[in-house]
Amino acid sequence: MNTNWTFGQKLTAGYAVMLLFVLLTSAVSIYALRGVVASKDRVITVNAQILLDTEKLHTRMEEMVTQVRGYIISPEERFTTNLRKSRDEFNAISARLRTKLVTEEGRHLLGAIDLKAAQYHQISDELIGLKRDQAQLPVIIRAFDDKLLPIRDQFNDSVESFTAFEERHLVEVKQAASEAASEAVTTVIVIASVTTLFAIFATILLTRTLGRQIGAAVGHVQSSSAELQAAASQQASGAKEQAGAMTEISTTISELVATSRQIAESAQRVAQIAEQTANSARSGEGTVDKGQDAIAGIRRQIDLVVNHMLDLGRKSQEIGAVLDVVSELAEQTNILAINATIEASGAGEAGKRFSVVAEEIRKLADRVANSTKGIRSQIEDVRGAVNTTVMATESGAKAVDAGARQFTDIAAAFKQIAGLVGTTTDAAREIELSTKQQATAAEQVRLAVTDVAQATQESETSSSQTLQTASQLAGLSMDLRRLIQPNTA
Amino acid sequence: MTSVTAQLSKTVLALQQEFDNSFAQAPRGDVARRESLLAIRMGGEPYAIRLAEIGGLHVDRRIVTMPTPVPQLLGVAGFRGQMAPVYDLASLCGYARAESTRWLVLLRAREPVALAFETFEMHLSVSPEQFVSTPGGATIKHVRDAVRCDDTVRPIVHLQAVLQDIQAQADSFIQQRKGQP
Repeated sequence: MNTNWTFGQKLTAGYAVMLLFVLLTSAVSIYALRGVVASKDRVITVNAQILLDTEKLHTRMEEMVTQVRGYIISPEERFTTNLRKSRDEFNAISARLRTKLVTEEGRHLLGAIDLKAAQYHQISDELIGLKRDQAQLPVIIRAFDDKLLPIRDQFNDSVESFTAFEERHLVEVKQAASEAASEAVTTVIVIASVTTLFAIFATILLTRTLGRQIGAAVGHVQSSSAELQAAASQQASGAKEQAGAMTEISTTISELVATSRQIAESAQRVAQIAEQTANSARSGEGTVDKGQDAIAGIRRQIDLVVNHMLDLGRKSQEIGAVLDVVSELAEQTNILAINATIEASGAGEAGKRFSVVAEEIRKLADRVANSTKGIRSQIEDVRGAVNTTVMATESGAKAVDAGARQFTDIAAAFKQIAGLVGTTTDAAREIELSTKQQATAAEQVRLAVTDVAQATQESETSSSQTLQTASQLAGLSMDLRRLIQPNTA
Repeated sequence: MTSVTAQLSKTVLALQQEFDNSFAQAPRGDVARRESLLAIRMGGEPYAIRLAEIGGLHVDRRIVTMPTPVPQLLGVAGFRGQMAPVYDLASLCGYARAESTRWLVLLRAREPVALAFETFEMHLSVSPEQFVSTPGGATIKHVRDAVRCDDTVRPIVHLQAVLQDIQAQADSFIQQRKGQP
């Protein structure tokens, strides 16, 4: 049996099978009883009626014999009328009897009866004719004894044979009906036995299954009761601890309320300071704008300085070119002076004076060359200084640009600071408002915690009641297990 | 800039005054004893040549190269309407041939001969006390003595000896040409 079925389903299934067997038994019983009743009815209504009609045929035959005899004795018309009436009744009974016969032998025997009856009718009509013709009485009596009486005896023999046959047939039919009834009784007994065995089996199975399942359920109930007891105990102890914790929480929340008020005051001060900072940031932003303008002026001045320095460099190059010319002239003068000295050395006493002049010119050329070298060195120094100055100025310009960018960044930073300070102010005000709300909420929480502490005490009481109820439930489950399993301790 | 201009003006004035003073003062007594030399550089080394041995100093003269079996002969150059062969002084003195010979001296000789060298540094007017012997012996050809000037000892190249060397090489070459069939 499926263990997933509920008790109701299992009981319903068992009773349904039982009901099916009962219905089957009832149907078989009704069928068998109806067969037996039909057999008995047939025995009573057909076979017994056949025997009764046979007896009526015999009676009508005796009436016809009496009418024929009365007419012979006293030829009155009422005898012939009665004779026709008896003959008609005989024929009607014979016809009805023929319809009820189911065996060939019965029909054959009934035919023999009809044949003898027809012969009798013929002979009786002949005797009536003789009487009506006023024949001699002895002739009539002899004809009566010789013809009519033997036919009547033969008729009686046929009737007896038919009656004996029908009586045998009646006995056979009765026996068949009895056998059918006996078979029905046997069938009903078998089905009833099967139903009984199934009922016993179903009872044992249901008892075991339900006992096992209920036992398991009771076991679960027992274990659950034990767990419930333990849980109730823990809950009770936990409720005690919770009550203590709630007291601590209430104290802490009171401190939290005080702290929140202090935070609200601090946030208010922060908002005031942030407002002052915002003003300072706006002032600093204006100062930075002025500084940016000053740096732009410096940048323009530096550009002018660079241009002047580059111009100075170009002038120095021009001076260098002039110096090259001077140097070339000095060199050529020197060569010329040397050659003049050489020429003077071959010119005698006059050449000596010229040699002195040439020597002085050569010295002057040497000095000019040396001075040119010095000036070139100084010009190179100037050009180097100019280049250094230009580079330094360009570096300064770059530094100024960097400073300008930094001032731009500073201005942006000041704007950002102003914005952030505004945000900070708003945030501080929100913090102030939120902290006040937090203090109010904390007060509400403190009240709620007080309620919770009270509820915890009630929960502790309820846990004790739960523990008691769990103990009772454990006892009840033990009793229930004893009911299902008596051997359980 | 103002200080530079002032310094230049001061230099020009000093030069002018010194030049004028040289003619205002009496000639020095040792002028006759002093000898003029030219400070040159040859093979990267400082040397000196006597002014009395040259007929002229020239610079940046065009030297026309010409095919010659003499490796020291650079070519010919024009000096006041006459052609003169130009020899490399460094290679004649035993150095490798100079790559750049900008300066030329025309020798005082019957036939015009020019010698080329790398650098002319300055004119030297030395007293006899400044002449010294050659440091480390005469390892360079045509060098016999030296002159000390400004803590530098400059060997003196004797150009007449160089000229004789050139003449000897030319005579030898002529003899070789005459000896050839």
